[in-house]
Amino acid sequence: MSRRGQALFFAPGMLVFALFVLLPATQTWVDSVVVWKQGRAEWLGLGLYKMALADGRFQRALGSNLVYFLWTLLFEVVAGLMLALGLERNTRWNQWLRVIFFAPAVLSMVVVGLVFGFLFKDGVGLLPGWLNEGNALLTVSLISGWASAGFFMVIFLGGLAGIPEDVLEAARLDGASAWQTFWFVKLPLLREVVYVALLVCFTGAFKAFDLFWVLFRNQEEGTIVGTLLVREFFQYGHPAYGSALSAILAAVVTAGTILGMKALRWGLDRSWRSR
Amino acid sequence: MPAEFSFASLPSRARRGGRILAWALVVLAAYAFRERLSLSSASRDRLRFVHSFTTASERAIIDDAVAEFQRAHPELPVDQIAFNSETYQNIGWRLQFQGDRQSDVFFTWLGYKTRQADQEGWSLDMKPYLSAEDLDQFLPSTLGPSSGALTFLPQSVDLSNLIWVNRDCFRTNGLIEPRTRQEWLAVSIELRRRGLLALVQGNREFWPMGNLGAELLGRSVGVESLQDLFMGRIPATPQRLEGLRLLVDWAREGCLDAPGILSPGGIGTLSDLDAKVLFLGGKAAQHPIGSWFTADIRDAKDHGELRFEPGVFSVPPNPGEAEARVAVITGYQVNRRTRHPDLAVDFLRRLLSRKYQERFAALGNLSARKDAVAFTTEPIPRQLLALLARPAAMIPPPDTGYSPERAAVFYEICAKLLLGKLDLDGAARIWTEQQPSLAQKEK
Amino acid sequence: MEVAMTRSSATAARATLGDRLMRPLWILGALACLFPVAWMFLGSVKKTNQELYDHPFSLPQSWAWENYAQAVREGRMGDYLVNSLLVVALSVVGTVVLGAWSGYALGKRDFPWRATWLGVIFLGSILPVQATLFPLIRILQTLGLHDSLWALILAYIAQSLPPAIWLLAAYFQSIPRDLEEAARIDGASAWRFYTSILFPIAKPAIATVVVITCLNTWNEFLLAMLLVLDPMKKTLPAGMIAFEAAHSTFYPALLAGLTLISVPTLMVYALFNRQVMRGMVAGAVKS
Repeated sequence: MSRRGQALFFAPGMLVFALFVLLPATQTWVDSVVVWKQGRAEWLGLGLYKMALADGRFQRALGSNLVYFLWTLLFEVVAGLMLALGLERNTRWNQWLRVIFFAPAVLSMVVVGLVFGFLFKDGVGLLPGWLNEGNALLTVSLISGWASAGFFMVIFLGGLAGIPEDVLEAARLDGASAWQTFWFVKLPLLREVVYVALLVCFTGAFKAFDLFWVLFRNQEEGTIVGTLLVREFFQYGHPAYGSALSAILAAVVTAGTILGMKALRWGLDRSWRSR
Repeated sequence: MPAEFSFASLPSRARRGGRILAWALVVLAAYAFRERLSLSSASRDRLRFVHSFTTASERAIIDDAVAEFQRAHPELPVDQIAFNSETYQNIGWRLQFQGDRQSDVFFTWLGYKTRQADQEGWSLDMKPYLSAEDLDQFLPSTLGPSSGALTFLPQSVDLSNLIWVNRDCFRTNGLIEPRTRQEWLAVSIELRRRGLLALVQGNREFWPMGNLGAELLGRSVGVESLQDLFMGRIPATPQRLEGLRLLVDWAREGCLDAPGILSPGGIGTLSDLDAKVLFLGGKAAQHPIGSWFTADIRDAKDHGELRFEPGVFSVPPNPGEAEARVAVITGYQVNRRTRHPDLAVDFLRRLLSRKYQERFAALGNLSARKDAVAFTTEPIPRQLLALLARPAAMIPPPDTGYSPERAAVFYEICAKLLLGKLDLDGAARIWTEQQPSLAQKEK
Repeated sequence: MEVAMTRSSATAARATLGDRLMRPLWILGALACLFPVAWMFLGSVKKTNQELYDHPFSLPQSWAWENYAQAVREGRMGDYLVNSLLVVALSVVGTVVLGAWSGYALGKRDFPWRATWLGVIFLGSILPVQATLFPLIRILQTLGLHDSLWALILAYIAQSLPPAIWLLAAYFQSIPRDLEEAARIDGASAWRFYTSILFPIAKPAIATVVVITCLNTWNEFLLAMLLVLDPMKKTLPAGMIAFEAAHSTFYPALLAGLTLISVPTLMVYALFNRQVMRGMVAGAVKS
């Protein structure tokens, strides 16, 4: 295929991607440092970023993101790994159970949020009080876990299926217990899959929006950066400040992903090699 | 979608036929849904009317007014854009001033939103298009600032803070409706002592109790000082916030929860609609919410679901306090960029005439027209009109009177007082602390 | 390409004694997992709020199917359903066509700045939607597309392209180069080779792209809430939120609306669960 042919195939998709993702993403950065007032540009520099870092509400929202990430690590990733280990053997039963545990992952988060909102509704719900302040972040993480543990289970099942039979056979012959097999044989071989799961969980926790928007309109504890910036922009009418928050969120997610990828690979490889 | 299925296994003629059928289906679907897939018309020669009336009975009234306008001006078709109220308030209102398909006439809230529209140059001065008689139809206090341009025409007034009561519940417990703040607290504590839910409120969105807080505070410090507090011109001190003491007392005495009905703190997770359901279901003795609740009571009655006699009273005063009340005034503005200012105003003149406002009043609406008493027939709205006629200072609800962010700070304080997470000292501290960052953002 | 879920060598394994002993626990877990969905459905056919909460585990006393009629009438769920179907269908077609083209080009090892392009696309795929939101609205307004279904369709295509391009580029790269060489010698143009040979054999990868795009666009909420304001043009999740916020204090009708949103995805999942599981995971893992 000629160069021109390649370009022709490549261009249309890239154009749509550039116009509706790359361009607005860049524009967000511009909006956070330059403000248009009556047709004149006003240079703000990093003023809005300084303001954001000093803004208690933003700090708490970012903290909530972090806490949510740590809880979902437990309720999504660890729970998913446990499900995968429990359902590893390829019996008919296990196939059915996998289908059931994955099912919530196909539901809209809006549906998940509203249904659990009804279940936990104070005054009438089955488990009233779970969404009250103090429990909010834990409960919302549990809900995420319900929705996504099956998804991580499937990721881990894929990894487990890739472990060569003879390695496990060797462990069996050595008389390794189930726990030893898991800790010394399976987990090190799963590390690529663990990286992926951690990154998916990390980006998911910082990109989150739907559940929080549906369940907590105003509760401070249920405010994360993703919902705060939408409120800043539309409700409070601070487009520039909202853009700065978006830019920070984007930076956190991309930097976290890229650094995380590097650090995980480096750190985990070493620790496993030394064992 | 399934990987197993393969077109290649079909005989080739059938495959071609299938392909033609598929394309035909796509074309057919595109034709059938062309309306949905169409862009909103970009034509300049239309009157774009943005509002948030979505119930069938409200739409019928608006449609009739549009039809009347259309008979008079067949050359200018009216496009109605009806948003859901929340979508419009939080998103649509701002976005309608961007792009090249802006609204011509739009629904709005008197206060912060109209002020901002005036400042940004989004609103038209309608004075040149209106006669003195036109303006004389409306209650003067509902027209906005009396000096300068006239950019707003009012449709209705809503009292934000009324206390709806379950009269049967009061009666069986031998209680009477309170006349002072002291009595009100005593009655609520007594109800709670008997294991009942004294007050139900859904404060998930913060504004319901925040508006009540504004009224309590406005009455105790006066309207001027309230404004100064909100704008950070005078510091908040625990003494100045004494009016909010009631919220602290409620939280301490557990008036907002009751065993087996609502757990402590539940108020922060319910929406205003949830609280409405609980009150109408007879689960609580009192429900503080605005005059729009009239419509819900009427609906419940019509459906035969109301099993008690409801009553209503306004926030009982403390001795020596100023008379003040929180009221929302809603109406319309015209976009300054409209091509048809005269016709836009003419449309509003028709819509706001007695003919259509009478029908809105029949839905439980409190009209901003002077002749409202003459055409409002339902007992509760009449009681409310009488209340409105009593002299009192008007306080805008914080979220329409001030920037939503200034309102949000106050709302959050009220919400925390109700959860017992703050005392008045803490409230004063937080409110004062927030001022510099609020001022900075407004620049 | 696809994520294997089971050891390829293993045929259906036999359950051991230990498996049998654990079975009640697993059944309990599965029931707990299904409970919210079952409650949603059962709640949607109950007569009153009271019945919904007082008897959460029981079948309704009489099946109130009229709740669905109410959700369609008052909540406009029928309109939203049609809108959602249109948006999903067009987004999927757009994503597959554009993604396969770009993927074909990027599948060539000698494509100029290939690594850079793939890197940019990868960045685009991890970027939160919130980071593009406000300028995106302005761009769509400038193009006169804001507040129409096309706004959503184009935004969804742009959002779905990165995983699609990654998956398809990887797939095309795995196809032996001899194939194209042979086609070229037979006199087929690149376009003809692409349409009649390459695209058809990429079906497994395309099925994966279709699965991810379908589910993501069907369930998407944030853009749906902000790019379409006209109540006639909302898609299901955004419309559902409007329904919940504005109208009903009658919970069973809201649950009927929620069930309406969920039934299509659950049905597709019930029929093609293996493809859906693999597809969704492949989408996340590859990109």
